[in-house]
Parts: sequence; C-alpha cells; structure tokens
Amino acid sequence: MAHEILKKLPEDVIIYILLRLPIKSLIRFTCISKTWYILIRSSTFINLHLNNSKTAKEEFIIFKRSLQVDPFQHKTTLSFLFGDDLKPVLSDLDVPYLESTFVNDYDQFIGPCHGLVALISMMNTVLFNPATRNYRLLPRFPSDAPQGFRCSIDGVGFGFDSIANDYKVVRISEVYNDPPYRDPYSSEQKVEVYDMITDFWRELDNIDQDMPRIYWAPSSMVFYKSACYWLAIGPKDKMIILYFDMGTEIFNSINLPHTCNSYNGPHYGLVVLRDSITMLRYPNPNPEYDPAQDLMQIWMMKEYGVYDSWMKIYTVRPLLIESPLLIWKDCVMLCESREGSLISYDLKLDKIQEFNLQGCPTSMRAICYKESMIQIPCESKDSAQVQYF
Amino acid sequence: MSSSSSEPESNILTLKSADNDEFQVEASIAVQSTTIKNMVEDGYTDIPLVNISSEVLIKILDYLKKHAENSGCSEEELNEFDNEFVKMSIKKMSLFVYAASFLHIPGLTSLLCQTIADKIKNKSVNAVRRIFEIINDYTPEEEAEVRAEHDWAHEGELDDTVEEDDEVRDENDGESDDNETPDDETGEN
Repeated sequence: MAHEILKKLPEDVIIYILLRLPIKSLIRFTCISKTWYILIRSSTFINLHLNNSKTAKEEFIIFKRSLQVDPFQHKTTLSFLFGDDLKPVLSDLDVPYLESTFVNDYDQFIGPCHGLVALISMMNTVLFNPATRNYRLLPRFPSDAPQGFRCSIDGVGFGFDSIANDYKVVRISEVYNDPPYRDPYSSEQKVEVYDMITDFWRELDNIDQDMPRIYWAPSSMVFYKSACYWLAIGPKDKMIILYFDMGTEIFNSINLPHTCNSYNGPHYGLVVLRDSITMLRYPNPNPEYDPAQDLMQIWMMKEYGVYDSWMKIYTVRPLLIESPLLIWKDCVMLCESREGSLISYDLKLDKIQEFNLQGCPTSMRAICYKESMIQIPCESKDSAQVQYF
Repeated sequence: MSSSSSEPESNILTLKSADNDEFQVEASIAVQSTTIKNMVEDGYTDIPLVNISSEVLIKILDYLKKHAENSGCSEEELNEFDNEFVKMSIKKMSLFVYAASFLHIPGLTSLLCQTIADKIKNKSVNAVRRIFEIINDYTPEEEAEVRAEHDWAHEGELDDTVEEDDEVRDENDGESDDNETPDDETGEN
C-alpha cells in the first residue's frame, strides 16, 4: 500500500515541498521528469514561489563595480554575495555590453523587481535574474535626439506593471534644442517607456515640462509598490521625491521633511527599509567638506504618503564614505568608501566592517534581492535572446 | 463560531484506520485536523480514515496530543518533539505528509514538507527519482538538452544516496519498519 501512496503523492503536496527548495535545486530537478519540468516552470508555481511569504527567504547581494583593464578600457563586473561576510556564491561575471573607454560611473543598477535587476548604461540595458543566471540585452533606446540635438539621461527606472502584467523600463531624458551650448532654458524633458511585452520603446506624450528634475546619485532610485521613485529637485531648490506609477504611467511627487531637504551641500540617497521609503542625507564626499559638520541622517516615511510620518531614525557619526549603496539585514548599510572599496556599517552596533572588494571610485552599486524563478521574457526572435552565465 | 449543537470539549471520537483498528481520541485534540473538525461539526463521532494505516495514524495522534493547546508543552519541548518525530526515512515521511495533507493539519504538513525539502535539496536527480519512484520520461537527448540549459545547477557535491545516514533501510516498500519506537499509548483505549 505504501508503494501506491508514493505514486499518488498529490500535486499540492509536491508543490508544498518544492516551495521550500532553493532555486538551484528547483532548476536541477526540472531534469527529473517532464511532469516535474512542467510543474516547476509553470507560471502558477513561479508566482507561488515569488509570493510565498511562509518560508523564510534568504537575501543576497549583487555588487557592481568598474574595474580598469588598461588605461582606456574598463569593464563592469558583478559579484554575487551572501551572508554577513559577503561570501561569493558564484564567480564574478564580467558583464558583456558594458565595457567602455572610461569608467562607467553613470551606470545605474536598478531593482530588484520580482528577483530581476536591470543594469542601465548610457547605451545599453541588461536585465538579469541572478538566481537562475539568465540575462538579456534589451533593445537599445530609440535613436537618440534628432540630428543637431543633444540629449542627456536624467533618470532610469525598472519595475512591474501589475495591471498589464508587464515589466517596464522608463527613461527620463533632457533634449537640448540649442547645441552645443546646452542652453538650460532651451531644453525639453522626454519620457520613454519600454514594454517587455511588445519589446519596444515608446515615448510618452504630454510631459509636464515643470516636472521636478531628477537628482542623480548612485543610489537614488527604487522600485516600490508598483512605482519607480527618484530623488528630484523641486521648486525653490528643495529636494523632493518624484515617482512614476508603472500602471497609470503618471508622475507624482512626495515631499521630504522640510528640515532636511536643501539641495545645496549634502548628498542624498533613497532606499527601501522595513518596507518603507527611506531617505539618506550624507555629507558631500568631496574632501574639502568636513564630514563632522554635517552628520548623515536617515529618515523613514513610516506611513506611505503621510508627510507627518517622516521620522529621523538614525543619525550617523562621521564616516568617510563616497556614498551609501543600500541598507540590508534591517540595519547594515553597505557603502563605497572614499578609497573605492566596499565597507559596511552596522547602524545599531556602530560597527564598521571592511571587505576586500575594490573598484573604480564612484562606480559601485549594490542591490539586495531574494531569489525568484521569474523567466526573463523575450518575445521577439529578432531581439537579443536570453543568455546564461 | 461552530454551528454544531454539541460542545466538542467533552466529546470522544472514534477514528478507524485503514487496518480497521479503532482509536479513541478527544475531539478537542482531533479537531486540529480541519478534515476531522468539519466532520465533527456535521455531527459525526465515528471517523473512518480508509487511506491511513494504523502505524501512521498512531504517530499522528501523538503529534496532535503534543501540539494540543492544553498539552502544557513549552516551545522548546515542542521543537524537540518535532525533531524526534521527523526522524524517519524520506519514503516513510511521504506517507505521513500524504496523511497530514489529507487530514489538513497545517503545522504537521509544513514540518514534514520542510524536512523533506531539506533532505532532498542537495540530492542528485537520480537520487530523487529513486526516492519518490518517479519514472524518467525524457529521452537521453531531451534530458541532455534540459540539463545544458542550466548546467551550473548540477555542479558541486551532489548527494547520490537514496537513504540518509541514520535511517533504517526500508526492506520492502516501508510497510514493516523495525526502527519505530513503541508508542506509549494508542488512543484512549
């Protein structure tokens, strides 16, 4: 009788077991039989796995930096790390499509969204699922500004539109009408959106030209609750949060605490901490500025959208950092030091840890993610296909 | 909330296993199984369980007694009990998880599934096939193709064994198991 029972193990029981397996095991077990392949690869199972809050999911770090290969050649390298000691889970990846002459310190690393991350340079966007080791080069931005015009990219975002069930990339750029002087009064903002479903870029109409200008910083963009959020410079040179709802494709803004929103001087970052939008304000890393004069402050918007719920949760003693990268494990802040190496600072224990990971200064980025089985879509045969590493 | 006219606390239920053995259990303990709870609310006190053997049922009743609200066990004691409970082969555990799922006992189902997952996560494809007696319906070419998609998932030290170190080997299909510690009580008999 036992024999028969084993053969009749109900599918929902198998699913209960599968949901508790790490991704490497799940992928390996697709080789067990066709039934297991179909089950594990089904969108039902993948979504169950993604939304499964009952099993504790480990957090991992992807860490990006630029490394100099020779004087006019730089490469972008990703490291995949785990645990308090940031041990590698697999060997580093030199990202194709992202080699360049000069340091890629403008590149943005965005995510995670359902376990996917996007690496966006001036020219290229590469989408990764680090758990399944897939990546794909997305189609280029549409041909840049027309002949005679120049364009600079202010902000990029990546996220998920749950209404259309579509992953999107959004790019906000400034087109200058009067080259080569880049007269700031003669430019116009342009917003383009890439839909994974159509594999195309399209431009949005009716952009409000008075929209706050994106404030560029290494870690100033997050995807949170179906919108992309950036730090921006609003009226009267006050810092503000600008966000773009991935579903309605409408921009809106959120005020920062008025005691902590001056644009001139300190630098700002934006992260998600304890499921709340959190702003970091830290001293200008330029050595001319004395970090002790302007301590790092961390503010959390405890209740979404409620201005009065902004609360300063930490004031950090002087740390010589170039920029914060992220906060994970509830209170550990990863930063790029001024010498171009990765350090962590425990906000509760006031403890610094140094890691043997260096890169070109200002090129570091980091993302904390949980593994997912989400497949990177690739609808068109003409587009670059999904590759593995 | 219960629509039943009788108070469950003082009710004794009779559970009948697939082997036709009867077990007397207090309803307040047995209703940790949602399946049994639903039957009690419909007024039944004789609960036939034709697809659960006595051996499995005895142990599950042990679990229910230990995890009942009034058992007075500390969290530590419960954890210790759970750890001891799952000391069995994966094959045997499959019988239990089937029963726990049928009886809708969420805590037990979760415990068993997590234990099975932990035991199989580092196992090779072949080992898992043998444990769950799954027929490989791939052709060698198909299997090679699927494997090549994510070769990295097959790297590293994979456990090819079918049974774990401390467990007894199932001689047959697991119907006789020499390693079970004799139970102190079997229901309220």
